[in-house]
Amino acid sequence: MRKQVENKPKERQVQSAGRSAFGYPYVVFAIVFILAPLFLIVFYSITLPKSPVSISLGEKCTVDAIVDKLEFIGYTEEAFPGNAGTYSVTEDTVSIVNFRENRFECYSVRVKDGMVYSLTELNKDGSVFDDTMASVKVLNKENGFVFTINHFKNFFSSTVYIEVFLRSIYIALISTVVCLLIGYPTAYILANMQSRFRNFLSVLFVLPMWMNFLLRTYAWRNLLEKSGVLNSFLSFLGLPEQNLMYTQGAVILCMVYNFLPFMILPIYNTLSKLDKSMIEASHDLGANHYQTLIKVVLPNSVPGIVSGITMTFVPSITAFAVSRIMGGTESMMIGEIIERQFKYDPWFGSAISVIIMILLLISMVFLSKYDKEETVGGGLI
Amino acid sequence: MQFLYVAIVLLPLLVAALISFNDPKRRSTKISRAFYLAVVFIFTYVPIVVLIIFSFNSARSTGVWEGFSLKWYKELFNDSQLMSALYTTVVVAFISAIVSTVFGTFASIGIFYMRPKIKNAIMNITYLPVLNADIITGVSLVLFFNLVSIPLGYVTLLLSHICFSIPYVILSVMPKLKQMDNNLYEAALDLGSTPMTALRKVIIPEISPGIVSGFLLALTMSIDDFVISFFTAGPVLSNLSIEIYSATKRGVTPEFNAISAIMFVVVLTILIIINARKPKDEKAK
Repeated sequence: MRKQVENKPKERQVQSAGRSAFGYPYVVFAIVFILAPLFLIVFYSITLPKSPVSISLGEKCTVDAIVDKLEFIGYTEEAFPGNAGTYSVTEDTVSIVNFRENRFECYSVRVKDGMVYSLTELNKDGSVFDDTMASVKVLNKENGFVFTINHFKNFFSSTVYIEVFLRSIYIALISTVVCLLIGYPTAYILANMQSRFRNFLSVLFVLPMWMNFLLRTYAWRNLLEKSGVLNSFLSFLGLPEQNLMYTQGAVILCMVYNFLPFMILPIYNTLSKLDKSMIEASHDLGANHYQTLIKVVLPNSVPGIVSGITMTFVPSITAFAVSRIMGGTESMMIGEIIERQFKYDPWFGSAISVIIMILLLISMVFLSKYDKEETVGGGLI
Repeated sequence: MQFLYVAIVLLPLLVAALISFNDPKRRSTKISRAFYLAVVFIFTYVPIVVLIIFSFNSARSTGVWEGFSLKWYKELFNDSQLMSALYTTVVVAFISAIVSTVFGTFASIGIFYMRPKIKNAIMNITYLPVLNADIITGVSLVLFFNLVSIPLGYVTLLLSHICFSIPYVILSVMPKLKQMDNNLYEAALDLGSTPMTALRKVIIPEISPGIVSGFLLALTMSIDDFVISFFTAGPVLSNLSIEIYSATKRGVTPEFNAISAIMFVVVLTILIIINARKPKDEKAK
């Protein structure tokens, strides 16, 4: 009898171990497709690759800068004509013997007034082989990468990037606050409705969330354009036409429109789960409706507010389509910079992404202090 | 001048919001609540309605009405580029939703029965793509695909959509697993069913509402996505979002109004179906 009792938990564990095997493929998947890319981006942000050096005619540079670049990819100084992968320097000219296995290829780069003045290919005896070149590509002698924090240094020492970064935070903050100010009363009214249409109405308010994000943005463009509906309406009323597109206001308006459902939904969910007897107790104890709101309803809806803020702030800080479509050059956001950088310098782009990730992490840690419920993603339908 | 307009619009709204929090039995509260909801409702739907109305406009302009016509719908169906983008969007949405629903459901069952420490660690990893910014997920996936040298295209687009959909499936199936009575499974085993049959006949039906909402979530997330697709689709392939994005730069035609109108009607129908389904589930419980 006793033995049986002892055996049972063990048996159960075996069974549940069997079922947990269903999760193993996902664990592999998550490591490969979620963790590995994130590690990769962090790795990229702190490394500098040894990539071929390209030198073009008219490019701004100095002799020292060229020598630095060459030494970085493993070139050494040797008297002309040296072996493959060497260079020699005279006063204003660098002669580079390209790192090629089976043929001699030597470029002579002359620097004058801080720019590349001439670019010629030389024969072994020093005579000119070709002087019609516009740019050359010096191949690596050493492959690999070095660890560096230069990407971060470059980011924080550039006033342009800092300005864009701060502007993104500013626009995201304003949008989040406006969303909260409009969304909270809406969610409150919806959650306290006595009608049997309550569910249907609340679905209507979050419905645009299910439409394509860019279609929603595009819809506002229709309204705000110079020849758009709003301006037609204004001129119909006899009011002056407004220049609404390509302003920061248009970007914020569009962000608020796009992310409002994401604010309303989690707040609505927490408010409709709220224990009504708490509110009644507050009234019984003599509080009026505003006191109840501030002392009972608001503190109890914090988890919903927090997940609403997360779902609004995170996408709006990095949204690059909205600012590209609705905004002008003066409302460029950090997402656009990442997008542009990734085309030709993924290392620097990764560094900006990592900076944003750190910012998000900090705000997440800050917000998670108030969030005790798992509301993100849950109950979206 | 613009600030004046903004103030004119926002001031009554603010007053209405403040009155709305008062005693719900008062008439003023009721009126201001209705007013507030109406204003937010108009704000939500005016752009969409204008879009739909102007999809029937015969003129090219998006601001001046010049008569009813179905011209843009016709042109939409003849526009092979836009139609192929739409096709890509729909195909990728369905494949990624189906794959991530099946994969995610099994994953959640597996994770649910893992040891608490491992379970927590995996759930935290699962939260990452949900909480992280889309652009970072997108570029990190591109770096990854480059590293393992998968050329950007259909495969990478699908993989990335599956990648960001699975967490949503897991997050909607998990609560149902927690709600489930664990004794049911054991009872099935005691009554002589094999673990696989018990899984099929007991666990899956119990968590099916979570699976369905996970599937719908995955579907809409995929249709809605722009940022991740923009990076992982590569230079040749384009879906609807990418097509709209590149069109807004070179100037759009009312064809886009037509496609928006169609999509809106489709989404509305799906949601009405879901809502008609919901009360039945509650009754069944």
